[in-house]
Amino acid sequence: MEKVAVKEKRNFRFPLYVTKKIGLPAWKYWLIRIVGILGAFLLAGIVCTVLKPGTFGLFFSELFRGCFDFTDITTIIELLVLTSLLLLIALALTPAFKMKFWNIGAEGQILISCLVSAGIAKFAPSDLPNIVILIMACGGAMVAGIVWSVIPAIFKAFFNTNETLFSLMMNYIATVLGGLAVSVWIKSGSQSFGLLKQGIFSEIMGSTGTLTIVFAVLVFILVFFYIKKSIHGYEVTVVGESVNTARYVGINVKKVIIRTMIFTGAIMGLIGFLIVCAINQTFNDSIVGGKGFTGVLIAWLGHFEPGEIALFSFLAAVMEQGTTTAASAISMSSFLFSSICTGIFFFVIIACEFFSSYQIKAHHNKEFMNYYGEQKALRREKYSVQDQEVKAQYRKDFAAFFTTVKNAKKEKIKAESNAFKRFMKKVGYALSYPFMWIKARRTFNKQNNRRFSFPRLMKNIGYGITYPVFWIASHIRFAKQNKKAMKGENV
Amino acid sequence: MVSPPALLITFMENIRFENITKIFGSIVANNNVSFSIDTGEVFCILGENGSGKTTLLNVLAGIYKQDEGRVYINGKEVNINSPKDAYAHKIGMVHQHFKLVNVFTAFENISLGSKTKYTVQQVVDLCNKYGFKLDPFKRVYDMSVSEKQTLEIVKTLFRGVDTLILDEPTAVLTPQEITHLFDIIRNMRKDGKTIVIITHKLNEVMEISDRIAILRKGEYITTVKTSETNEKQLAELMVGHKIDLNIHRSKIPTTGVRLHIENLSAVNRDGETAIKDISFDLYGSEILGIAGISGSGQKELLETIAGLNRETNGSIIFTNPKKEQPVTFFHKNIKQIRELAAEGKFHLKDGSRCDLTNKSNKEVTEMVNNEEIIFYEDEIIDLKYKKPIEIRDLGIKLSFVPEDRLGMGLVGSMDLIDNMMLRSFRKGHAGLLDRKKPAALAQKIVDELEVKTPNIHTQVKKLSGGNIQKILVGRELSSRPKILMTAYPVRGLDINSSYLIYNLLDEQKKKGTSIIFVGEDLDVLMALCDRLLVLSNGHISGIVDPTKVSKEEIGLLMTRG
Repeated sequence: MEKVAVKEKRNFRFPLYVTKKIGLPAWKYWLIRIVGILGAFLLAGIVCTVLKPGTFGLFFSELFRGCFDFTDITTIIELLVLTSLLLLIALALTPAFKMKFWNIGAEGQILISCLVSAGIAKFAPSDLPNIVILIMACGGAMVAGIVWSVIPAIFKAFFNTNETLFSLMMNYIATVLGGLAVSVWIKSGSQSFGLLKQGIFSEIMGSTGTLTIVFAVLVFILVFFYIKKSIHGYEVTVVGESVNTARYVGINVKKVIIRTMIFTGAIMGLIGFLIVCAINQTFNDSIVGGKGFTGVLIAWLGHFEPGEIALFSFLAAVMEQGTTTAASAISMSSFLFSSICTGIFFFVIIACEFFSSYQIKAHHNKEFMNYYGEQKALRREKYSVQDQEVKAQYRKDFAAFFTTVKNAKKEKIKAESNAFKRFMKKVGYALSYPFMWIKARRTFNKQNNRRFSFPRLMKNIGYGITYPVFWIASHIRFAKQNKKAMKGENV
Repeated sequence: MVSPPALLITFMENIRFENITKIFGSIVANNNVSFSIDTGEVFCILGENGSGKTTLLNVLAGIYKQDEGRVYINGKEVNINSPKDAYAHKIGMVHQHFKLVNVFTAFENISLGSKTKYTVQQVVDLCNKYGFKLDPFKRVYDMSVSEKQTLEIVKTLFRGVDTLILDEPTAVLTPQEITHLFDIIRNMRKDGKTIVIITHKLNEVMEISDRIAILRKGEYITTVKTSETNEKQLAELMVGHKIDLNIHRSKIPTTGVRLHIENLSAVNRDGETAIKDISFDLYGSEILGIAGISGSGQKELLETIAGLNRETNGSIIFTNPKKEQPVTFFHKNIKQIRELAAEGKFHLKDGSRCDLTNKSNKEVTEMVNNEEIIFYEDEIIDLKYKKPIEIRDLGIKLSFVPEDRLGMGLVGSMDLIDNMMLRSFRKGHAGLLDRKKPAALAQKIVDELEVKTPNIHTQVKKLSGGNIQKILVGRELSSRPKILMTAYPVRGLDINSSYLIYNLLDEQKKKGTSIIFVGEDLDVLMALCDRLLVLSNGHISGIVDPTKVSKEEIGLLMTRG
């Protein structure tokens, strides 16, 4: 029989561990989310400053102006149209997601609907009234959307294929078809599809897409009732939670899967129709522009609750439209920059989801904390080489100088005559506070002939950054010392 | 040096827990638990489900790390971070769910993961030493549950353990196998090994253990010597108040055959034959118990009757006791009533034949509403090939409390109201749900069965096992079923809730319901049921009267091939 020698006991364990958070109250959860949303905007601002130094304040003022310029109604309408579009996509996906049918083919489903409605609008006989062409385009788009979303559903229901891969692949087929159609439809000589001449919505309040908002509200109400109040919605939820339960209570699972995807496909068709006939009034194979995937993210972040989805659609729209305006103001590629910022937005919010369901904890160990405290004190002592009095005086002087800098800036803002600009400047002032502080500190150093000291700077930065590293390092050192002591005892 | 007397060695302290606290999120699994286990004793840890027994021993076996507190082995504090560390301290644990590689043989499973090479002879020697019955070349997938458990114990012993922890070892065994296991445990004790048994079964504790530690809701209550206590006292310590341990079986005469099952065969989800040639009759006002080793086809039998399993042979005939009862529109529409009347199934109040051919729909409706059309005989319906929804449409009041509560019977993330609707959600208007009646029903069940819940809008998964089961049983009983099928209804429940469920079933029996009760605890089955059907390997090995046979005889039936 095996004899296992009793090993040396290990005293070291990794000081941090991740545990699940249980019973997080709703207000705390939303607090984390709000902090995350604000953090996302702040981070976007910082990225902006890194790319083009000194544009931190400008970024925020332009972001705000691009979305909520109350002097120009068009910006607000455009923002609402973008919000509606994202909202519609996320709402269309919601019932399927509730059923745990991970349809990520929204992009293709919308594109194919766009293609069909563009075709109908372009080639419909011109003597038909506009409204008839519109209805035809809408109907055609819906049929196309339904076909594209029901195909993965049928395969899922009867052959149990993976709907995620299937719907993703359908996207590429749609893109190829879109490209093909454009190349066939374009007459030789012209470069693009060109604007549609018939089957389009007319301009309302400075935008052709204004009616999208109405449709979004209607679909919002429809989806809300479908999920919350209807028998179909109830069946969808039961199937999503447990197929076994559904079978047990006599729900036809295959029927529910296909029916729900028909519902999704119809809304997808409506979206495609709105994109072609209302918002863009043209067609190309990248007309959806990744909104299908953004919609998937929004539906997820909104926990498939229509209200939350509306909120996140709005925020994503603000981020996208605001950053596009900001990009042009600071002369950057607007598409690239807004993509980066939207990416940051989702990244930060998804990270928040992690922190709302998990928490990072440190192991409790009194002896170690005592040891750590001693080490910390020693370290502090090591770096406080300067005379304390000189340091105190310096701090006082700098505080006075910083106050004057602040006051000067405030005076400048007061002198601004335009109320809107004054408000924006105030916001910028508040947000750029830390940078102002750094700038003032540098100026103050120069004035007082206080030489720039690289070691001092590094010391300050290093102390901040290495704080957690140091914590872990001292833990290891503690464990080692402890082990030695134990050995000493044993001997 | 003078060696200490033998007695002192035997009762030397081996393992000591000091202020062990383990918290999962907001749930305190163990709170300040301190006690000690001596060398060479059989030590039982007794507690209800969810009292933190397994968590505590998992700390010792290195599966979990305690949040606070210390573990001492032979007087020295130890730090167990993994099962490997536990083996280094000669502690091994046999878990409730075995951790074996299915496609390997017994010998391969024993050799797996150890640095030294064993020979088959060593395995055979060890088995002979303690009395294990184990074929080293048998593959795990061919083994019965009891063989798997034996293999787990042998595997653990080969790691050179002195302290063996067994988590609920008797839950899946037949009475004969339990006796055998206890013999082995006694052999191991003679050899100087310490054995820790986690259990909630009082009679087994009294039979095997030397000392018993009692846990209640994560708190350590006390340690008692087995020789100085009795079952009643243990039960009181375990639950915290006095309880009545007698299951009530009311004696009432049975009514006619409700369900006639003949030569029923069915396959399971993997397409293997799960039950074959099952034939029995179920009478009104009786509880028919189904005993058997788990996985003998109990689940498939119930699912087949409930219409969830479509690939079946044989017949399931349901007799609806409708004789001399008026027909209603509740489950029959006018067309069906006309068809049945043409077949001669009805008669009128005065006893004459019912002829509806010359009557208009309006007249028929009036007659039905005045309860003039009366069934001539009991309604006989073949349930074979019928889906659950068709069975419901036919008005057969057949309720099924499945084994898997949250995976099948209820939806965990829905609230009480929505779970009440699972059976009745189709009764809405114009495609919209009606939540008023289910809400009233939920409130009624909460009040009547004393379900502990903040309100009826709470998610079901947030409630405890007992309360979840009460909701499920309450919902299934609310439709006043003619046949009630329950699979392991008390699994994972505390003693109070278990007895509440037993009483509910008995009350249903008094109301005339036929009940099929699949259970795992033979004592309960024998105390509660009127007849006991023993399943073995998918077929019936006997239908017995529990008052006339012994536990051992049933055990033999359970294992008869």
